[in-house]
Amino acid sequence: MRRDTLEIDTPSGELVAGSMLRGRVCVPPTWRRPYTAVTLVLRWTTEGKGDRDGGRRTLPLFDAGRGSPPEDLPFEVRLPTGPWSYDGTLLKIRWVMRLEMSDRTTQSSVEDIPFVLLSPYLAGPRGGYR
Amino acid sequence: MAIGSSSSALGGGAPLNPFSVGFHAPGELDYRFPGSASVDGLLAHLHAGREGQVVGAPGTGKSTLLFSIGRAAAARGFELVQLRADRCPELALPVERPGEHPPVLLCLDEADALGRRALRRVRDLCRARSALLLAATHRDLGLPLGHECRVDAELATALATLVLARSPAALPLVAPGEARPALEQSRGNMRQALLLMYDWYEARWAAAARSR
Repeated sequence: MRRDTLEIDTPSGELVAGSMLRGRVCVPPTWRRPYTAVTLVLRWTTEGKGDRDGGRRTLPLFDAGRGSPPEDLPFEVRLPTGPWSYDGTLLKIRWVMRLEMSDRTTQSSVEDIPFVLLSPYLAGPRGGYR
Repeated sequence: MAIGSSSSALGGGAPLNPFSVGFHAPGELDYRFPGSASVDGLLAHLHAGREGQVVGAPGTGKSTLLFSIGRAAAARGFELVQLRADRCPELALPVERPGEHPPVLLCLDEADALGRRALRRVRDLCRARSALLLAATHRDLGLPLGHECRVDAELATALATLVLARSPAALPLVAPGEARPALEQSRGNMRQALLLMYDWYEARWAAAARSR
């Protein structure tokens, strides 16, 4: 899965809950300066016939105190274990990821990229539900 | 990967249903005034009378209108207090402060959940704090009428068009024109009509999945 600045090491956009996510960030020149933090934000929301609910996980990829981030920033982070993506009739659970770059005064973010947080039971070679 | 193409998630429903409540809940869409009425006109009316009410049957857009008014008032420098009378046992307005401070607008939804005495206390408190009061109610509470909410087939179709346009990735399983029968079946309640269209969308998704 690839966007202009974020490349995720998965061809389908399906990520297994609790697994390691590998990828790389192409840091634009305007953000290659001291005190820049690079963060991957994962958000889930419910959709359906009821009120929205949701949550978020922030995964730091580059801390602000480490100087300037390199142009090519590889990363490896552990994905949350849940809630798994769900397409029910009454309730759906959707995940999106967003890359945020910030310094002391400004912040920019890449568009929300939807993905499926897959149950490990579905993902394995002998997945139980499939 | 785009939303709507996920086939591996758990569950057998549509990955994206454009009629999900989150896409059209109060605050998500702007209220559409009939004719020449507008948010500015209602705000001016409210400013002159200090208090007003928005009356309408369930599902006709009263809460949506309160959000639209609230947004417009906040943009014009009002301090906004939004409450639902059926969910707040105690009314809390911003404390009085010395000196200049922005005018306060209390948008009180489900105001007919208050008893007569409780409503009088709210009105007295608003007067004492020089706050404007806009109440949304199913029945006349004796406040000056600011607006009467109503949904007809034309408005329902326009709203369905808007809701569908906000989810371009969704499959066109339900047409905007179906808002008319949905509204009729829901006896004029647009919220129920959109939920009915949600069910139609899911049913057609399931039928299409079975035939694939």
